[in-house]
Amino acid sequence: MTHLGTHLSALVDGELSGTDLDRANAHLATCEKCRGEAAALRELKTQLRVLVADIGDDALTSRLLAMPDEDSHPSGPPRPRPAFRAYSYQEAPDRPPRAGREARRPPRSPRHRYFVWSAVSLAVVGGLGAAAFGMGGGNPGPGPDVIPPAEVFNVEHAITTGDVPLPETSRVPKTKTPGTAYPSDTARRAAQRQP
Amino acid sequence: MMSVLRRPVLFLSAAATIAVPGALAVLAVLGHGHAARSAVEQAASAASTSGVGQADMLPAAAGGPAGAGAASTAQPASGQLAPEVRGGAPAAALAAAMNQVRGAQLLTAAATAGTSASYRGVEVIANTTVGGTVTVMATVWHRGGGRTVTQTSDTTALAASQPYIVSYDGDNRAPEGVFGVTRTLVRLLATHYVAVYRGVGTVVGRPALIVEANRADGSVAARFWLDERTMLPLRKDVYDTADHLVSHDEFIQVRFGALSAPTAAASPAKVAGGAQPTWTAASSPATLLKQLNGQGCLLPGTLPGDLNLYAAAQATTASGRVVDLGFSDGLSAVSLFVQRGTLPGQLPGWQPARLAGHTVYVAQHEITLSARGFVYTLVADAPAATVDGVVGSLPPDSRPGVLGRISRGLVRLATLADPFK
Repeated sequence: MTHLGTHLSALVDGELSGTDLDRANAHLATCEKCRGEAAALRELKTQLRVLVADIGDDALTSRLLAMPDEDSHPSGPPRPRPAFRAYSYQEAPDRPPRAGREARRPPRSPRHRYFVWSAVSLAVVGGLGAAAFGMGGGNPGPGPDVIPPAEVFNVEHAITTGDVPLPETSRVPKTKTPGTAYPSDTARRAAQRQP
Repeated sequence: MMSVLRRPVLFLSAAATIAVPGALAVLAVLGHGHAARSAVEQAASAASTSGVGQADMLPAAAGGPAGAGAASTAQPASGQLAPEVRGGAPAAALAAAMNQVRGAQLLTAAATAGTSASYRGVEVIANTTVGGTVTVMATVWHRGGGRTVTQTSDTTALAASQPYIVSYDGDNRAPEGVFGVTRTLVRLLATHYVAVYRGVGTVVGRPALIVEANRADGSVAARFWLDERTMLPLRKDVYDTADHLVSHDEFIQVRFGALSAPTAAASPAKVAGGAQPTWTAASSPATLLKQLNGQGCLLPGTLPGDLNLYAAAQATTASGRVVDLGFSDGLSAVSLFVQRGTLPGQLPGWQPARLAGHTVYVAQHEITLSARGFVYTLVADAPAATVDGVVGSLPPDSRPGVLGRISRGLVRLATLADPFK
């Protein structure tokens, strides 16, 4: 046995017309369960209207309740639901109405989603910052006393750069004349005397 | 789409996310193109407007201070003085472009000659370092593609000379060039400077081809004299941005061909090289640097002075594991050795000094300091201003603030999460 399912709300909202309306009414005439559900939906609608009237002074709530659905049209007749054209009542799946937590959950507004995403982003950034702060703490231990092996480093540097390693005897500079790097005449002559 | 437009904050965030990186990318592309265009335009402009000016400048710088001019002479490239070149801007631009192409080719050939040529010569090397000027003399013997032996003496102590001999085994590791002209450094030089052929000259009586490395503003950063026959570098002068000569390397004797190696046993020489640990070169220097940073070093990938990380190696020495990071712009070269530990209170042979906010110890072109559980030792062939900047970029020996700690933590997290390490 198949029932009106999700098309029941369209019937109650007065969105059905023509053949679809005739078929739905015919089904209601023979199905007590759907009749009961339709009556319950109509009762719910009535109560909601009363509720809106009672809290009419609250401008924000009124505006929120008056916000149209994304699918609704601001004017003109209600749009027929296209799904009715796709299959007949006999072929329609027997989908029970939503129940439990999902049915009770109110629809999410864009502002609500915005706040949720902001909170999630802040949590991620804050968590990452906290983790980085924790990871960045603590210097490595002082370690052993190290005397740099200057000779080893000199030779490695010379190999890498294609230069000549400086001798250990000249580790302390002998002259301090910034701005000129020319060897003195004495040094040049002494060098030229070498074999 | 309409629902996004109804939320201005979300819309602005999305727009900024797309627009900011896009604008940065456009700026980067335009800036690169502008820099490249500027360098070429300046080179062309210099060639077209100062054909004589270049000739005037060249001998003055090439001759240098009194006493040095006799060893080397220079004449400008003939193409720059030709009347037809001075007459037309297009011809001058063409000549400048050709000189640039030839300059780059000559330096590449010089880097190859440094390893393939067999020679024996005497070099004089004078470097202005942080602590002053160091002048040394070295006898270098090299067999093409093989072994190299250098015998170095301090020129201020030649009378009581105790030569310092370093023998490199060609099967292990050997210097990859002469006067810093290696294939790797020539490639780096091409990215930071414009190499220009400048004519012919002589060094130790041998005809030489002169190549200049010019900065983007057209100033001369270095000048090379290459042996015309073998392409071996015979002389190299390096200038700082104030046009001071900061480094001078020159052969004062040289002979080419298969020559016998010097005999180390004949003199009471200090022989090094045998004590060298086995260095393992890193296939990816950036990865090794990232690992070091993950351990708390926080070293940058590029040091001040536009010195790029181009090589890295590690070895185990008597004082523990050492990582060698090589930085260079093609002319200036800094080797940064990093090891765990601290410096002792006394360092014999090193002079304490204050440099760029750090307490350091200096010995000729070496500077060492310790910070946050690491000892950093620089061996620098670079102008003093560059060395100052490099030392200033090293981590300070103090506790980091909140931002510094978060920054270090992010680096460590990135290192942990890096799938390519």
